[in-house]
Amino acid sequence: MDLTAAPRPHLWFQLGGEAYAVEVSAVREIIEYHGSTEVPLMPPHLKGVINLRGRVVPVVDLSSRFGRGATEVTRRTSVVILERHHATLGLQAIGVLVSAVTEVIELTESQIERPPAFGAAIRERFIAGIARHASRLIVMLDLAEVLAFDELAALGTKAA
Amino acid sequence: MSGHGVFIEEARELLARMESSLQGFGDASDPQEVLHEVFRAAHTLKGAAGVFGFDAIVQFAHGAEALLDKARDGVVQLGTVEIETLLAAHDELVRLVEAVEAGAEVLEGDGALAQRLLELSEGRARKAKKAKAPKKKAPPTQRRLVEVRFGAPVMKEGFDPLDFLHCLEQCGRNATRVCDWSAVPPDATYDPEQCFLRATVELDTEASDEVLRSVFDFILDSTTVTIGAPPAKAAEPEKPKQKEEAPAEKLVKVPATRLDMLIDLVGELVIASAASEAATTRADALAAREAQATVTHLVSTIRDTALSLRMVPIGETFSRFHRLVRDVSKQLSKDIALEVKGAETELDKSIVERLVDPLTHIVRNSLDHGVETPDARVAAGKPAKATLTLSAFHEGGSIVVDVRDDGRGLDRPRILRKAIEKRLVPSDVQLSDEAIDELIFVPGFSSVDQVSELSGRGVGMDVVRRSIEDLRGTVQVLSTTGKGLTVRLRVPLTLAIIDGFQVGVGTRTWVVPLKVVHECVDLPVVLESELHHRLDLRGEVVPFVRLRDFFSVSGERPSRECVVVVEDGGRRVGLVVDRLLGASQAVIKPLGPLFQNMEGIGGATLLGTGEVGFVVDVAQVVRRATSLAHRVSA
Repeated sequence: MDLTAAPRPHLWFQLGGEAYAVEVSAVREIIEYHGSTEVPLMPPHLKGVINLRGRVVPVVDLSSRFGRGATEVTRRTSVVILERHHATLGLQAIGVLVSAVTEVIELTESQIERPPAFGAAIRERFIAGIARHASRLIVMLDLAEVLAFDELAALGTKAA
Repeated sequence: MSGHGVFIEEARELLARMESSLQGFGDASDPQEVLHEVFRAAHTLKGAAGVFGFDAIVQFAHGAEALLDKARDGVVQLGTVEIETLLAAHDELVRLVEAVEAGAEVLEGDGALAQRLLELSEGRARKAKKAKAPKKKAPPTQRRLVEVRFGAPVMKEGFDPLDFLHCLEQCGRNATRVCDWSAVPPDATYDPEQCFLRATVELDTEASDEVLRSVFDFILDSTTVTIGAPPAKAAEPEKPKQKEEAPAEKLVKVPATRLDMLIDLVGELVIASAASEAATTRADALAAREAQATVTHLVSTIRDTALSLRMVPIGETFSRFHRLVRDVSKQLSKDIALEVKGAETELDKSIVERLVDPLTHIVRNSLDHGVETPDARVAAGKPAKATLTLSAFHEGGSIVVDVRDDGRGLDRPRILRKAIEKRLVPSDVQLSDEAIDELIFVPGFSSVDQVSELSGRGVGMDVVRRSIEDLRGTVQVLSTTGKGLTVRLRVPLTLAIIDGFQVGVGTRTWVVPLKVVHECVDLPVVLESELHHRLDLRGEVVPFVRLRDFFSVSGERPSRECVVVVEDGGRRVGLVVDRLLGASQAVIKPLGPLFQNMEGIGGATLLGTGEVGFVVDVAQVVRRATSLAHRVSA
């Protein structure tokens, strides 16, 4: 059996009217957003930290990260907790602020196209592919790029 | 934990013991005891490697063991050559163990070195053969009976019981083995993953009972081993019994992650207990408050006990430096002795690990730049042999680690010249001696013109300071020109839980480590000089920093503010806050890699309300405040 052809589950979510997806295997849990504690002197894409059952977990504002202004907080705003591997510190949980979580969908390789060279709403390197699903185009995120530790932290050097 | 994990962990410990014993061999008061120690380490390692089939490791451990055995019997004298070779064998073993850890399929040892070990033990052995006979007889061969009751989890832990029996049987000759299956449950309760094996092995051996027992070192937690004389020769049945009852303290090996998890949970317990205490105090029910008082007391006892589980003496870390000092002095043709004081001082394992790199850097610096050549020392009227001292002691909630050399001290004119050249300070600057010493911590400063192999590889004292501050510690240099330099590291005993002092700034709660808090006063409006950020504290001029401004907190300043006077490295600085909230324990939570560049925040903590608060990194804030004050007054 060709494993690449097997459908893989993805989490489909909304971010300011656009549809995005990440592989479910990277998602640990999804929680409602009830505000976070802002860390002083940090840029807008580092929204703050939350207490996740005794762990202090950072929350990244994806919309700011993509250079499109802060996410508007509504009743449906959620935090998707993702797990990323850090070279020295091991597995790190990172929360990502999204406008709304839609559903989990199965995507096969044949539904996924290479990202277009231009015309996408966000920077090309953040995109792992474009999936066609339910007559919609869903942008699949490349988490290694979107949540690159050094990059997020480097931007975090104080502006003052 | 996999079986390999256990092996690697154990092998590391054994090798560390072997190395430190070898280092101390020359100065030992009882060299024979040291020899035993090294021998035991090599032997146990050999046994363990044999169980896992790491032949290359067995080969080296065996070579070392053979040489040491000859030395124990007085057949071979351990001179410099032998010690050096044993150290080389040790290094090779370290390398092989690392290869195992890295998952290497095939292990290759340095054949020439193995050969050399054998030659040393055999070659000289032949020479000294005549002297041997009267000195000591080989231990007599005895028939021993070893009863083994394997523990139930042995197979689940990744061991094959048969390997141990084979290994045991190789310790002697004419082995007979009887297996006893009576412990296997006959009915449906039988769990095939559990081990019910009992075995009795009889063999002729010269090995002591201790050596026989060491075969089972890895599984002694669950397995019972009884060694005695076979029933036929029941002449001295008492003796082995006594050995059995040796009142050694029983040690349990626990994976570090489990310990960390426990400490995390205790941390949460501390927070929950603080919240509950606040609630009962508000509710004002006497019975509840009494019950809560008991809980609070128990929680703090549990906290201390849990933290003490992770405490290790710093001596193990210090002993690594014997080797470094020895190698480096040889390389630099300097004569340097290492002295260690306060090796028994304990601190959190997680901190010890993070002290190694900064310490190595400081020690190398001292050896390389601080200590003069023997000629120069004699010319300066000092003994040709220099002394480097590593010492540790407790002070308050901190541990102080000093690296002291009796070298030339910091060359202040040169440091200043260099700093001016590199445009780190203006050329007409007038600096006190302490301020010049501080320059070595400025990023981009490296005083050596030639980058040497030892130090000055672009990482400087700024990196040392950074890594110590990450531990919420401080670095200080105390230099006396011509007499020597002391680098003083001060780090907290534990990273997990601190006594904190809560203050309010804006809508948020901040925590200042209680041990640096000197006093709290109202910010006197009249005496404040906004421009210079100075305040008059009973006649003493103290610079202050407004946390509200430092952290760009939005909102209005309250009409009445308070000052928390903190002390850092002898300097007093006022932190201006909106409200004082009082002392409480704070569990430090790391903020993770995304916030590695933040300034003035030492970590996060969970407040009784479940909200996240931040811990003020006093050292960073103070340094920033004093440098600002400098700039304003200059």
